[in-house]
This record gives sequence, C-alpha cells and structure tokens, in this order.
Amino acid sequence: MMPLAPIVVGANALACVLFLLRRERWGWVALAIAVALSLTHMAVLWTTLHRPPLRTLGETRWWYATLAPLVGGLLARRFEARSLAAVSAGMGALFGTMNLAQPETMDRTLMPALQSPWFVPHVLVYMLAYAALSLASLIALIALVRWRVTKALPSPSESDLAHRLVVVGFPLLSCGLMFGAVWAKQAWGHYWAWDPKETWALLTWGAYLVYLHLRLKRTMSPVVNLSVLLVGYLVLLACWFGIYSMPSVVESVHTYTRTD
Amino acid sequence: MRVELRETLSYRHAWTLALAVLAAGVGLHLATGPVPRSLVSLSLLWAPALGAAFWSAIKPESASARFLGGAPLAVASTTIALVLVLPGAIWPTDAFSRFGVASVWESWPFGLCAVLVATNLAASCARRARPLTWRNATYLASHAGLLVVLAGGGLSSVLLDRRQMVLTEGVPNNLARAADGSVQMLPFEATLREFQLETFPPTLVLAKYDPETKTAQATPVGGFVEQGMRATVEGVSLEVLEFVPKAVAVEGEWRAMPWKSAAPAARIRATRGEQTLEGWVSCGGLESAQAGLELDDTTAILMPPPNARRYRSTVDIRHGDQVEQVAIEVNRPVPVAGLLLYQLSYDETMGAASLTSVLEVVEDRAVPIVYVGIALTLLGVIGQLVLGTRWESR
Repeated sequence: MMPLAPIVVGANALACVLFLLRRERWGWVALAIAVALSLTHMAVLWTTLHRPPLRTLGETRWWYATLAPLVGGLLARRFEARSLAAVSAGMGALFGTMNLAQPETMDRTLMPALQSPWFVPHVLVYMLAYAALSLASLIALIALVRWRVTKALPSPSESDLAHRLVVVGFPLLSCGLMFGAVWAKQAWGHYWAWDPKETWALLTWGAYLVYLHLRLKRTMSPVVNLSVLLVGYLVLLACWFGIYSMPSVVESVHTYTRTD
Repeated sequence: MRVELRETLSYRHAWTLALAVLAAGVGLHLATGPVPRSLVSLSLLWAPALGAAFWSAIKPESASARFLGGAPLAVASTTIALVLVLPGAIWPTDAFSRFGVASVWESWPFGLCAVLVATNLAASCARRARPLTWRNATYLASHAGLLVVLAGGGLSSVLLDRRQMVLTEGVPNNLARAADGSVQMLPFEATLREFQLETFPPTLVLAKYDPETKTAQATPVGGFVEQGMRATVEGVSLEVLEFVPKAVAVEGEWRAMPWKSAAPAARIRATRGEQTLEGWVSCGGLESAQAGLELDDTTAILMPPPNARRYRSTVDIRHGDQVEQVAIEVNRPVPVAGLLLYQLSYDETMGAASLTSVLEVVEDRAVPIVYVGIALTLLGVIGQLVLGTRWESR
C-alpha cells in the first residue's frame, strides 16, 4: 500500500510548482493525477486494513492530503482561482510528506466505540471541513504576510476567496459536530460531556462562527477578518493535533492513535 | 436620531454588555457558588431570551431589537463564552478544583454568557421570521436549531438521570446507584447470563530497555500473530512457528485450553545476525504469567495484551411476569421500560473471565428536544451550504 504514497506526494508537489510557474494546463493534469492516485491509495488502505482508515492521526493526515487537493481543486475551478489550486496541491504534498517522514505502523484493530455507522460520516465530513477551512486560513496567511512585508492591503478577491471557502467549510464543520453529538449519545449515553477534544471542536466551530459574524459587517477591515481566520486555523490545529500534547488529554476518550 | 442610535449600539456596546454580564456572573459565583440545577433556576435563566424574542417579534426594527439580535452581540457573547471554556480544553478538571471551580460550564459566568448567547439567538430568530424567504428559512433553521439545542441541553442538565448497575453472573438485581451514592429501585430486574470480551488477535513488539534513561521503547512488528507469520523489525527476523489463541503455561510449555481465562501464546523463532533463538511469548492472563523471548539483556520480543474487539453483556430482563433476553454492547444501548441500558465496564482484573458487568442506566427526557434542535441546525447549515455560495457569488 505504501509505494503509492511517495508518488502521490510527488504529483501534488509537481502540481503546486506548475501552478506557481503559471503552467496551468499541466498543473491541472498533475493535480488530477495526484487526486486520482490519492483516492486509490485510500481505497487500498481501506481494503488492506479491513476497516475505515480513519482511526489514527496519520490516517486522518492521509485523508487531508487527499481531500485538500480535491476540494481545493474543485473550488479553484469554480472560482477560477489558480492560487487556490497551488495552495491545495502544496498542502497535499506537505501533509503527505509529514506522513512519510513519520510513518505509522497501521493495524487492523478498531475499538468497540469506533464500530458505529457514525464513524465514517463523522470523520469524513470533518476532514472535508478541515480541507476547506485550512485552505481559507492559508490564503489569509499569505495575504497577511504580504501585507506585513509590502504594506499592501489584502485584495477584495483574496478576502472573498477565503470567505467562500469558509462558507463551504463551516456547514461541514457543523455537520461533523452534530454527527459527533448524536454518536456520543449512542455510544456513551451523553451527547456532550465537555471532553477536551469535544471542547476543542466547539472552540474551532466557535472561532469560524465569530469570523462569519464579523464578516457580516462589511466595514470591518479585511486585515481583522483574515486575522480571525488565522486564529481559527490555530484552534483547528490544536483540535486535530495539539490536544495530544496538552495536559487535558489524560481526560479524553478520543485518543485512538494509541491502541490502549 | 434612530439611525444614529443604530450605529451607536454596535461592537462597543456589545462588548460592554458582554463584559458586564461576565462580571455579574463572577460576582454571583463568588456569592452563591455554582448554578443550581433546578427547573426554577433554568426558567429564570431563560426569561431574558424569551423577553428578547417577544420584543423583537413585535418591534423588529427597533434599535434595541437590532442590537439584541445583531452580529456584534453574537461576536462578543460567543467570544467570551469560548474564552471561558478554553482552560478546560487545555488542563484537566482537577487543575481548577483547587480554585473552587469544579467545572466552568456549571459556573455563573459561563451560565450567564450562555444566556446572552441564547438571548441573541432568540432575538435574531424573531426578527428574521418575517418575511419567510428561502434565505430567511435557512437562517431561521440554523439559528433556531442552535437555540433549541441550548434549551434541550439546559433541560437535560436538570432532568438527566444516570446510574450504574453492577450485574454478577446469575444474580438478579434491580438496584442502580447514582454518582452521589443514592440507590434507586428500577422497574425491572436484570440477571447477567454472560459477559463476553472478544479481542483481536495479538501482535508482537520489539522492546528495548535503555538502562541510562531507565525507559523502554516498543516497536510494533506489524500484523496480527498467526501461524507461519514472518516479519523483520530493526534487523531481527521473526517467524511464528506455532500459535495458540487460548493457552496456559504448563512447565514452560504453552498448551491449548478452552478456558475464558486462558491467554494467547506463540512459539517464535528470532534471528539476528548469527544468533537464532526460539521460545514462547504470551501476554499472560489469570492462569499464566507473561512470557517474552529475550534477545539480550536489554532487548526482547513481547506480546502486548490484545485490543478489545467487542464487549457484550447478555442479560435476562424480568418485567412483571415477562422475561426478555437482551444483548447490550458499546454503541448498541437497549431500551427497557423507558430507560436506556449502556455497556459501561466490567471486572478488568478478570479480563475475559469477568463474571461482572457494569451497565449504565440513563433516563434523559430532554433528548428529543436536543435531537429536534440538531435536525433543525443541520437543515439550516446544509441549506446554507447549498444556497450560500450562490448568494455569495451574486
């Protein structure tokens, strides 16, 4: 299953470079190949593990490396935004490289709490949301860095592109949160227990909720709006990875990377 | 004059109100302790939201209705509520108990901020109820859904009843104990027929002990143990010569025994350079101690305890003259007499041979309200997802 992984990373990196060099036609070809190979890679993982490959951090990173180029590519076509295609392919390459640098030993075990019809929709919808929201935040980061360096305010098209990605990602994030609550009720008897992971999920959702409400007032500076998107991304990363390094993790029942 | 007032009642006022509510909450908490869990206090807490909804419905264009249901108050109240729960996401609960705060979400500051969020939601819903266009409908569904979830969550915190029922094989029981120690007689009698703990096949690890740091590191060999399995890890070639899923150790040899308390064991051959060793490895169990194959003073092949695949309690439920057999598993709670029975725990010292199963008996009459709220919110956000980008592009 692993031989495909470096090819996926290479195809994403190549697509990113081609878009940056304004070789759009070849960029789209490389991105399409990267997405097709990524989906094949996930299908092979799913088949060989005899369970959905959605349990560990490494597995969710592979999903991200698949869905970020897919979602970013589709939205880049729709919004005619080459920069989005470059960023999404770059993120696919980055997350794939992270997995190659720190390979996990994957096994076929799936603890009883995860054996639920809610498992796949809950995690997949979250990964789709993460793909859209993180791309929005990266566009914000690029615009803000350029603003700091050149003092050029973020352009309305950048702000709009980031906002459109949030408009797509936020409903998916909401679905993930709600699916999780319904699943928790079925598995543990309570839909909300203030488990640290749940609290971080709420914080992530809240951060993007605050952004959406701030954006309603059109007079707000784009720098403020984009800065809130960056904060949202930091909270998202804390929810996804950071939680496992925090003292609160001892109280979380969402620690599936360790097979204890 | 009205326009000026509308513009004035913006973020500055929203933050002032939200911070004032927060300060009031801190004062109340210091004076009275946590929010009391009662229907009376819950009703009082919801009064501002109902008042705001009523006022916004009859005077939707007034400056106060716009302020109460506006985005600035949404931003301020949500931000403060999120900041309040942030410490609970970073540190474990006992870090706060030393300051006299058992949980932030039961404190007055959080309670009052939640009231402010609910007030904002209620006012915004009342204002957007007319005219009922598609855009307003998706807005209403998502916002009213959240309001209903908050209402259901509040009601649930008062009405939720969770108790533990300890069942021992063959012994009828109709008592369940709450966290405060109170015991309740249930309207049925339960008898545990059998507790089953199924596990996945075991795996092997290469364990290395570092005498300097006095720590051990385990590298998974990968794959389930089965007869004939071959693998190489860190220069050590392994071959499983014999695998016994349920075995006990008898004078250094592991023999197959069909007991629940037996443990998986494997006879393996390990080759490292010129060195070849053979021996038994097992995670051990009630009958036998753990066994490993030592390659040298600091390196060994071990078998960690296998991961659980399924916990299942088969229980006879006697309700009047009727007896019904049910199987309770994680993710598959069983409804009995208006209560839900969840598989919670078992006697971990006995493992698969446990004669005890712990069930959780849950009664939560507010759940339908929460589910209605979740369904409404989902309808609203999916509507916004489908229609949102179209409006954005206009």
